[in-house]
Amino acid sequence: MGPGPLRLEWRGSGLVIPGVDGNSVPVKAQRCFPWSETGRWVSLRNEKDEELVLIENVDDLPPVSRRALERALSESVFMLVVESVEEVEEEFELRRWKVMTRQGPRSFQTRLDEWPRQTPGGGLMIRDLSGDVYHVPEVVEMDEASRKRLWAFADCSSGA
Amino acid sequence: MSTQQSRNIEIVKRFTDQPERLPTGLRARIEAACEGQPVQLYALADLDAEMKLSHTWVAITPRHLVIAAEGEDGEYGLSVVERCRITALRSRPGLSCTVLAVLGAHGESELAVLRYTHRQRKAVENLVFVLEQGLSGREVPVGDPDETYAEALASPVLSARASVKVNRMAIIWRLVGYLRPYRSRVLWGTVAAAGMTLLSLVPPYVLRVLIDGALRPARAGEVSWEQASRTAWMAVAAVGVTYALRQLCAWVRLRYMAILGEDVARDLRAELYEHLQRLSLSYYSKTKTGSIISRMTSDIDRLWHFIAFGVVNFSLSVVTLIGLATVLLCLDWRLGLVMVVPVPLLFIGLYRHSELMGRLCLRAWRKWSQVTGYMSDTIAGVKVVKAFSRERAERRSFRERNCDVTEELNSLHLVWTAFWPKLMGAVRGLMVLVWILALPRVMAPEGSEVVALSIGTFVSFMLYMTMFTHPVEEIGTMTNMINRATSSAHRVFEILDTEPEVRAAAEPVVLSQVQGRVAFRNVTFAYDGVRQVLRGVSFEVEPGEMIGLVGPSGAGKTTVINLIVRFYDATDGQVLIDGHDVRELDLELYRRQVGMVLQDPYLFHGSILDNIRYGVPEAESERVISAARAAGAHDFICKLPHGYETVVGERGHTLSGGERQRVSIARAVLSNPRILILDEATSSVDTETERQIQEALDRLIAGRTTFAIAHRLSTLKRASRLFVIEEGRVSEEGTHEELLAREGGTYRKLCRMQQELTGTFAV
Repeated sequence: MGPGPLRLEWRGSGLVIPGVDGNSVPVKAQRCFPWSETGRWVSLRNEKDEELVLIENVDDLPPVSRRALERALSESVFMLVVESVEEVEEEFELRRWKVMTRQGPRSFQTRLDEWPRQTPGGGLMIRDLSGDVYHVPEVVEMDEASRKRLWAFADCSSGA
Repeated sequence: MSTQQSRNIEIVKRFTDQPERLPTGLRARIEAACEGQPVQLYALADLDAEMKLSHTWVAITPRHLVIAAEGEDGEYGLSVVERCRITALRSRPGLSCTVLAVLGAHGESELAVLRYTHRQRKAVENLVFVLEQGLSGREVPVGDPDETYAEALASPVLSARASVKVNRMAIIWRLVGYLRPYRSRVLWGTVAAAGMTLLSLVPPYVLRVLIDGALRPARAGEVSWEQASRTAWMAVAAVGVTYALRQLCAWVRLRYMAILGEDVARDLRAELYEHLQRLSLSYYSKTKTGSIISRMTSDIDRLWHFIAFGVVNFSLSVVTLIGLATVLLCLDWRLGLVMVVPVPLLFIGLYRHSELMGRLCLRAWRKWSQVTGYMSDTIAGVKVVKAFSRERAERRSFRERNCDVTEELNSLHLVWTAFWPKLMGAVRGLMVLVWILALPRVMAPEGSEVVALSIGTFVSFMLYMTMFTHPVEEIGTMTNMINRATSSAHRVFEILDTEPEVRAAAEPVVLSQVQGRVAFRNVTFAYDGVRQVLRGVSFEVEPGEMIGLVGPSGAGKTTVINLIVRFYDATDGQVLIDGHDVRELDLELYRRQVGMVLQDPYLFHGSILDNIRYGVPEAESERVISAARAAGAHDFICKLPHGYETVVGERGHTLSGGERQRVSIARAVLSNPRILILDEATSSVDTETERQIQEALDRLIAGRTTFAIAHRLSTLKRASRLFVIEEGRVSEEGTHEELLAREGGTYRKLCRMQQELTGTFAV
């Protein structure tokens, strides 16, 4: 980082590092540890995907910059957050999921051998055929029917 | 509508929560807002600014970009942007969301910002591609927008599974169709199996006749002991004959059905392999080799088991159960009802058990895949494990996973080992109930009000009851077998139903002697139908010319070669060989006259001799040696203890890269091709080996039309002409000297860069 605290701004549809001469540099924010250390180690990268700044702790930023960064991160690490599981069905080669996410209802498919992954912060991560990521934050806190449907995929004890 | 399009639409309908096409009314509104211009392409941006799932359609017409965002009232609000105002498109891909900003003139705010999940990525990228090409002044011909949209959405599903509609009964019937050539054996097998079933019903009946027709009347003095004895011996004979016939039927059934299953498996394997040979390269680039091989082996093996035993066992179990129920009801309907009425409850129990087992198996399968994945990872990376002294940690990790999977498997065993005794206990309980209800009737004195039951009927009833459990068990376990078999059949049929993209002409032109004149006429090609790898490429090559193809990676050099060999067909334009469209030629005959030497030559498992003779199996030793000499391979082959009969391992790993390359050149020399393709033939070898290979290649190309791709430009100096390919077009054409002399030319720049990097290139 340069001298003085890093300043970040949200302009138009993206994050920028404002320059002293008025020329701002558009950057994208990328978490180095998107699951385990969400508030630390954020890489700011330019349009050529080169790292310009590595932020060790987001809390160290001035409030305005932090809000701008958090807005950028909400897009770059966006994933669909599953609130309930309405259906899990198997077909030839595919597993069909019907879920209610925080963002709205969604159906997706995974390969039969593509298992949900346990995430470091707890919960499950499911990647569908298109590459979209679904996060189930806390299986144990879901309704009973969802828990039952997820039982085979999560290492929680109840639901069989 | 094409089959492909209707399949894609079906996938969008079944597997996504979004419309299968741009709503007709909205499309009309968009076109009206764009001065009646037609929609060329469209996509859905499914996230709004609040990152909620929503419907925002984005469409392009020849002059406009239109954003149609759905309001809370379900109505779409249109925002029209003239394409001429767009200066750039900036996309920021994230974990599950890509933000696309449409930029206007410098200082102007963004013209549009779109957010979408990865599901929409391909459809949006198609649109972005066309817009960006437009910014560079290039017009991209686009096909049917509905088709392109559906194809983009369906492709992730299709990469996992090639078909959409799956009807288990249809699959089973199709599988049964493979039994047609073996009708007589199927008949014998079925008759034998049916015979076994019927014959197994005879002994209890005979016992009844023996007791009620001989023993009891003899004891009661109703018939003489002599007469009773005659009946008894007849019964013994009948039982003996029944058992003998039953064993004969068992033998016939096992023998016929096992062999029949193997024959059907052979037919399927043969059909599958023949079909695989017909499929285009695009299929192999989309499908993993392991997946194809597992379909050829384990899936077909499972089908053998199903055909040999499953089909007959299942149908006979059903028949046996119906037969037994009928016999029991006929013997004594009151007792028969006790046994028959609870049968549906038994099946409900079986169904629920299979549901629970399904979930338990799924969990165990997941844990098991963790163990196998861990094993394959650490065994493949054993060098790293040892180098970092991580053996102890890896052992501990494996132990944990191993215990984990064992725990799951044990809980699975606990469930089924508890279920089956319970189920059988219920059946035995019914039997005890039959005893309780039957005995007072058997022992009832004559003249009492109780409906009497003869001892013979009672005993045969008991025996029939013991036969009741087997078909129930059989049907219970059969559902899993049917599920597995239909899955396997589906995987096999999926390949068989894939149509080759490159098809043979109905009335092919037979070019028995290709001259080697190659021409491209305005050839355009896109692997995915939208992003063009070649754009209007035209050139003419005379027989015997050597053409060097030069250009950056991804420029389209290999695509030119793929089209000459007809691994793919041009999307637009024509590829002509001796004046004939390559699509009209007898493909097999034509390809026999084309030779290829690739960067990573593939040698089959077998002797060097077999590999050199691969294209011409009948070639005599003299011709083989002559080809090997021309390829500079003879000397090193002779140094090997087994000479030409040295067996090279899988992919020829026992030979060095240069040696393998020279064997592949010998293979090409022997087939005496009229058109020769050299695709980076010397790029993966050292300088000395390159020199030797280059000498061999110089001998090979003499008198043949040759297309050579090489990154080391020094190897192309001898080319008659060089084509510089950039962004899918031939940007420069000429001899090495001509292109080198061209001020500001790409070839000149590439040569200079290589010279600076290596310091070896001599101009």
